[in-house]
Amino acid sequence: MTTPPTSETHPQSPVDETARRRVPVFAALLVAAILWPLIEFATPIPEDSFPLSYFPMFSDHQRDTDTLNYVIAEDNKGHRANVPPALVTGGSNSMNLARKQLNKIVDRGPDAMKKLCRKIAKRARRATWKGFRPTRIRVVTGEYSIREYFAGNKEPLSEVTHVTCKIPRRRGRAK
Amino acid sequence: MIRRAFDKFRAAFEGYLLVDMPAARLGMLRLLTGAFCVWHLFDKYATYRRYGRLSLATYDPIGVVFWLKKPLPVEVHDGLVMAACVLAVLFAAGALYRVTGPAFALLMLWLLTYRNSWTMVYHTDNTLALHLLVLGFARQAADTISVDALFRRRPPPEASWRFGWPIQLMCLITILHYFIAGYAKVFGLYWQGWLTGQAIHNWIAWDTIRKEVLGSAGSPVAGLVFRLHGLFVALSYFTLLVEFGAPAVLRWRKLAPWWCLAAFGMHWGIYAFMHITFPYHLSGFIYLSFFPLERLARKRR
Repeated sequence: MTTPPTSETHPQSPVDETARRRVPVFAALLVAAILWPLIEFATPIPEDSFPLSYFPMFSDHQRDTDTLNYVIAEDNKGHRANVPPALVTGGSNSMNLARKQLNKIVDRGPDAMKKLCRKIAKRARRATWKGFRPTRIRVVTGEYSIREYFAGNKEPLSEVTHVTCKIPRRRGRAK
Repeated sequence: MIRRAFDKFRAAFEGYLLVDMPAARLGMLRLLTGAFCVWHLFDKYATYRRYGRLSLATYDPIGVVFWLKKPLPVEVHDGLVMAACVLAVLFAAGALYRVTGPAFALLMLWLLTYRNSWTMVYHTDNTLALHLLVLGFARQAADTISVDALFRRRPPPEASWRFGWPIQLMCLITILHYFIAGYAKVFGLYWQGWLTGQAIHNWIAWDTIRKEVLGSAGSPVAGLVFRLHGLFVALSYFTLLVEFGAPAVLRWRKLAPWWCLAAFGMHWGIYAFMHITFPYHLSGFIYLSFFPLERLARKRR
């Protein structure tokens, strides 16, 4: 990498002239590095990176129906709630982080899913739930349709349960 | 002929880059960008620390972190986050800048990349990371409006290309990032969708569904505007105009404030429709290099 000019250089000095010649080279290399990821558009399996990115956000094809992996908490009476990201990740409330973790775990298979399910169940025991007390956790893949969803039908078109696990009972609190 | 074209391009590039600018503009840019980083790091301190403690299942090292096959020990990561907070203050103040400038720029590059290695690759901090590298390695950024300048006791430096090139390069980085984002849309898999407005419509819809299904809050606006197809066509063309129009600012500098305003509005629109936060963009700090910041320094005197 070329060294950028320093503040110590005198405007008329030969050192300054050298620095003046180096700056465009340094800048051109940086520009080339920023543009380099565009090559990913020509590769069959593009890979994104940071901070040099080909900015794939919003360039993927978004279909009218798609499948999502998510987690449900439910009780024996059929009440259910979608489990928030913090219970999936174990701290972070980032939806994208929870999504990445779930997708990876579902790809890995039943053992990994069971392990995660049990962890979520333990966290769910300590969580506060609105209007019901869930007794089990399900890791599922559901198919959703944009049109159905925004027409008011927020239920999935179909849902496949991968694993189910019980939420451990709370111990009685000392009075 | 190729040689002549290359010489012409080189002259134009040098003409763009080596522009005389006042030292105070670069000094203010360092101070304000540093102040943004101080706020960002202190505001997200707990979030940054949490990334060292997440499930290994989500760890996918990328960029400068690619060689780190296992995450850092939690104590080391915590130490780096703390060091970044201290260095951010020194960077903003321009104290011991020859050391703190490059050190902070490199540490932020590490922390931002490390954070992205745990999550999906976000595109919110790319410009910030590169801006900091330019500012951090341009030692002259602390020649004025800095603690270092207070101790040097030299007369204020005259306007020079030395203060101009980091600013011009930061503008170029910003513009290139918007341009690549536009290129990705039109030359990506879903280019037809961007021409008909369907892409932006489906993106907003899926973003809301994902958030709600994964137990998070979606944008309330999405449901209200879902059927307004004309709106999505307009938003689509507006986005493409902002992103593909960005390079025009290099040729016609007077367009810069208007382009910055349009891009700033675009990010607030994304926030309203999708709750996606681009802190560096939404705060407007990303666009500072386009403005004569030395006027702020003069007003303070």
